[in-house]
Amino acid sequence: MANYSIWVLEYAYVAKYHLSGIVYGAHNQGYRKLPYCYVLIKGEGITAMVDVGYNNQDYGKAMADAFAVEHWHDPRTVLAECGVTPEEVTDVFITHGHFDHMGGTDHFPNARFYIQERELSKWVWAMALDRKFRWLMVATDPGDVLRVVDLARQGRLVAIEGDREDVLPGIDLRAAYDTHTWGSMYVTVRNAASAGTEDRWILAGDLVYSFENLRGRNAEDPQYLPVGLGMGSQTNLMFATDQMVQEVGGDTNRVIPIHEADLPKAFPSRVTDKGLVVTEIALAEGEASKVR
Amino acid sequence: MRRIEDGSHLPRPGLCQPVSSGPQTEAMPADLDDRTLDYVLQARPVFDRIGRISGQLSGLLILAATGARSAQGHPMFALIQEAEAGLADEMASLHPTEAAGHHHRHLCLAVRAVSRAVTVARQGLHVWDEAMMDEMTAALRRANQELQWATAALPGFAVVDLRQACCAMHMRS
Repeated sequence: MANYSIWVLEYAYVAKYHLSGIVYGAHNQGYRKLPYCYVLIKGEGITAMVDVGYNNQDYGKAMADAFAVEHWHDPRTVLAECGVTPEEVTDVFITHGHFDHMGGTDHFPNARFYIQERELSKWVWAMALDRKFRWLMVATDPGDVLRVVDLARQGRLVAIEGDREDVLPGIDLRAAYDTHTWGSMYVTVRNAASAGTEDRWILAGDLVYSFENLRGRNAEDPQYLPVGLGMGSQTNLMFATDQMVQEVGGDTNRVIPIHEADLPKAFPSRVTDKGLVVTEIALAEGEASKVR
Repeated sequence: MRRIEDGSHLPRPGLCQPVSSGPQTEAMPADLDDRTLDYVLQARPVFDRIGRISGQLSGLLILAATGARSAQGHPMFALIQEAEAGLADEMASLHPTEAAGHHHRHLCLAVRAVSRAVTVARQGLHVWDEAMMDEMTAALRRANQELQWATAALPGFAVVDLRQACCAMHMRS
């Protein structure tokens, strides 16, 4: 049991994103906003993040020009909305190795980074394949791979094998192999709401992009719907989704999809003067709200 | 672990700033002359091969940096050497136009850097010490930077195919 605050911090967004990217198969069914976010977890002497966004120095212009990703702001600016500096971040959980989730490692000079060993070893495997398999590595930046090497050599990389309970007090890492990627994982935060009870939150990475992936499109007959991109198995993704939902007692509100534009409808939030959204998922005892 | 309290750890702008470039797509860039388009078509496989070699060497470095004994004498290194051996001839077969000159210079520098990394790896194949890893990392970092500058110098090249990224599967209409 622990006492953490959790915020989802938007650092960029696409104003009109194809629904089919969010929900597999939903072609020609319109657009919605796609926020790009990372998660801040603070409490128990720890300042942790889930993922660190993309490398704006190398890809920002292409992302903006070709893919209409707009309003990018650096981590110093984004974290300041919660009174945190990048240098204060102690731990970072990398849910998977795609460039838009681990491109920003350079911004956090004092953090330990956690990633599934399988994600790393499958990188090596995929890079050894014939050129006709190159699609398997297209969303991986070789620059990120080198940055991971640097982290390992500095003693700042923790390669996790499978599930790890209490990686930090009250924080678990759960493997979701061969789903969105070969070595994806999600993060469970176990807060103590009161003595004898538990207040769990799942930070799902890219296993789900929206609540629609968790609930389907018919409230009377819910179902899981996969996201639009997967390097692994959609079947595995469905079972990983169910695992997340079961872990929070079936309450899909507690599985947090960071690309969900309607997250502010479910949780307290505010729009910063930079036009980005801060959403408050949980507030630790003694912590001041960052949205009210 | 050394703590860094100021912003001094942040990446610094490179000496060669990216120039404005169009979207990087599979379709042929429409604003290039035919000879430059021919160059793009011939240079793309070379560009991709450099990126693959860099990625593969980086993968071996990850194994070494995380203490995996399999880094030494890894079978992937034979593939890397084979790929690198062909680079010089492939580069010699390219005929850059004036419009492609800037790109080609960065491509040449990328080849030089990745070849250096392969040479270092070959010399220390069974002894992955810190000095060797320092030198390989520096060479690969240089190769990746040259590839980034090459992508900015001429349309039609991409280090990361953003069209396939999980959150960038669309193009600006």
